[in-house]
Amino acid sequence: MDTKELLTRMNDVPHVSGYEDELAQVLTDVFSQYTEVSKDKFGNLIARKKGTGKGPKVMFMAHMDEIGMMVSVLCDEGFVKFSRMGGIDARNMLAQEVIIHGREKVYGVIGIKPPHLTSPKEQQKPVELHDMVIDTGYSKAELEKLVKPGDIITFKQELVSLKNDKVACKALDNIAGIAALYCAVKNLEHYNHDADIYFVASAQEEVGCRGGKTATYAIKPDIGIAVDVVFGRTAGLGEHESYELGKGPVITIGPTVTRALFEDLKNTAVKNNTPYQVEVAPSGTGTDADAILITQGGVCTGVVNIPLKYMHSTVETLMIKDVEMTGKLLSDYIISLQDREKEDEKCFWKN
Amino acid sequence: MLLEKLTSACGLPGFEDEVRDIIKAELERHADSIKVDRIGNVIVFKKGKKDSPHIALSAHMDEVGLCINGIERDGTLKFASWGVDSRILPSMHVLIGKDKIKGVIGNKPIHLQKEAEQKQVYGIDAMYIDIGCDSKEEAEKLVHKGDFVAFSSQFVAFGTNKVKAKALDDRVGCAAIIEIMKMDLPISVTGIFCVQEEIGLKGSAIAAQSLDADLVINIEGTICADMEGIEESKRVTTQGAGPCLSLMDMTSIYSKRYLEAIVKVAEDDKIPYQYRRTGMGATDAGRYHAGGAGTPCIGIAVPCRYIHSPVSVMHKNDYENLVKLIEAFIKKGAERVIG
Repeated sequence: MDTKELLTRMNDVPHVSGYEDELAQVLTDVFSQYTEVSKDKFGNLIARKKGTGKGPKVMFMAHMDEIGMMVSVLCDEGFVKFSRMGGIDARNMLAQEVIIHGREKVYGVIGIKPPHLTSPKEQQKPVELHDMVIDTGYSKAELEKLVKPGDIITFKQELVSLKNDKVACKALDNIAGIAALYCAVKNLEHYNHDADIYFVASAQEEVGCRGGKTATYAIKPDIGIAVDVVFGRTAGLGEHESYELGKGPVITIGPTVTRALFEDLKNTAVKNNTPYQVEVAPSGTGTDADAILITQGGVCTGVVNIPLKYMHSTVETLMIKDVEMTGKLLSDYIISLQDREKEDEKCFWKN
Repeated sequence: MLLEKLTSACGLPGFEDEVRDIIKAELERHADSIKVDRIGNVIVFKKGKKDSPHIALSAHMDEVGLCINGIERDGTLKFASWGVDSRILPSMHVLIGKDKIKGVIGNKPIHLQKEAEQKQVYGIDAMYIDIGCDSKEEAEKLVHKGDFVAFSSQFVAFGTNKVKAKALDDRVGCAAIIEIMKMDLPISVTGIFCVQEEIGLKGSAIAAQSLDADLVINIEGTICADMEGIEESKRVTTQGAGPCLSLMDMTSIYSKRYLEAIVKVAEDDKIPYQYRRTGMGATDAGRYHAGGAGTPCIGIAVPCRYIHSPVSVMHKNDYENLVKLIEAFIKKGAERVIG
């Protein structure tokens, strides 16, 4: 399966925070072709690829959950009110298509009053979330048989190919990160590595890095690397806050990141001719790394990101080769760890 | 399904070719003549058993969308719009030009916005379309200034007899005329499929000048605001309550005599109908009733929620009852009232 196929498969199943089961099932099928897979109590999916026993325990973590919504009220005329799960700009929600995951999948649209009945002044004010409703085309009585408060809602947006190897859809944050893990496990399929590798698809990152905490606690890795997305460069965004598509993985530096690991990742990129970019995260990183760092007495932590335009929308856009280069950086890093403990007794993860 | 085929086609004002081709192909074997006039209107004539009365059915082929008016150095595209509430544009998927190049309208991620920014709407000036090109030179090979942009939206049947699509305004009218003209009709009927309604009733202005009919029935997809939180008096039309008969709008006061005649047909045949309860909006009837030597008009429409957006919604029963009512009027009512 190529990267785009995997992204399509993942995008097509719901995986809102706390409701990642369907995606976890897809990933079980995909990763079990390469290595053993298990699921923990929290809902994280863990694919372990054993090493020779002579290397460190390395965890690559990409979160599974996507932003979405939850049903709050079924209104009298069959419309549905909802709450956001994760950070969504309400201005990106009008005229969007959704699926409510009730007793069955219920299609709906987020409507808006016709422009003919909207004053120019009204058109200058964003519609607030609490004024939006989903139209399911059912009466309340019919809807009550299918949907109840608490059901999750996902955006409906299939993966679309743009020019230059770019794709756009709803959940690239962070199925892109998972696709990078997949590239890495494929690259390492026939490699007899020293490192003991844990590929983790974590649950509930968007609502506070929750799965990242429990998975890291249970695995107790020497090195933990979060694989996530970072703001892609678009008009109006500066070099200090956004990164170019097509220019390779973005390696993060800042207090969350173990400096020696950052240097290792950079050196790996240079040695293997993988282009890379650097992101400065002066406080938190906004990724699972924030949880990894402070778990189990502290873990050597790194962050590798894929540049993504229009984050948290149904038009999130990335370049496939950035995903693949990120996967290659991860597998190359595993290869770089070969014989490291033998050659250097004071490897940074041993302190 | 005919309506699915028609709404899947793209027909921005002045570029209605795809819709025109479908109409011609559908009616080829059912018409006595099919003509395309200088501006691009399709005029289809079907002779009845008698020459008189002669009724014209009119709908417009074009849909709302955007138009490319600039290509930026970074390969993104600037656009103009009309008839669209710009608040629906962020996060929209679009199709550009006749090659239907895929693009998206993205914006600044929520994480990088200041709180005050979220209280403002994105103006058209601040938005652009991203097709994946990295430079102006690259984009210029694919897209040109003046290319039209359609919303990318599939036909979806959902809920209880509901349909969601783009361009229901006014492919419902095109579909209804095609269906009726395929029927065996007792009187002569001219089908007029107009161009450029959405930018100021341009096609019908020309069609009206050469029209020689006793009556025009203008068929539309019309506004419907029967949504949660909107008071009854502002809803205009109600979905599922039958086709909407127009009394008056910004360009027409509809013929009382013919309106009463079609209402009688509806009541005799127990076909549900409702009145369109607003004076807002404009239709091609404005050109027919006051153009050429003047032809009386009635307006009848399918109520469409979220009109002028990629996710317009209609009730199938309203469409079916609209076709039924026009058919009954042609077969029973027309001769009684005309002549």
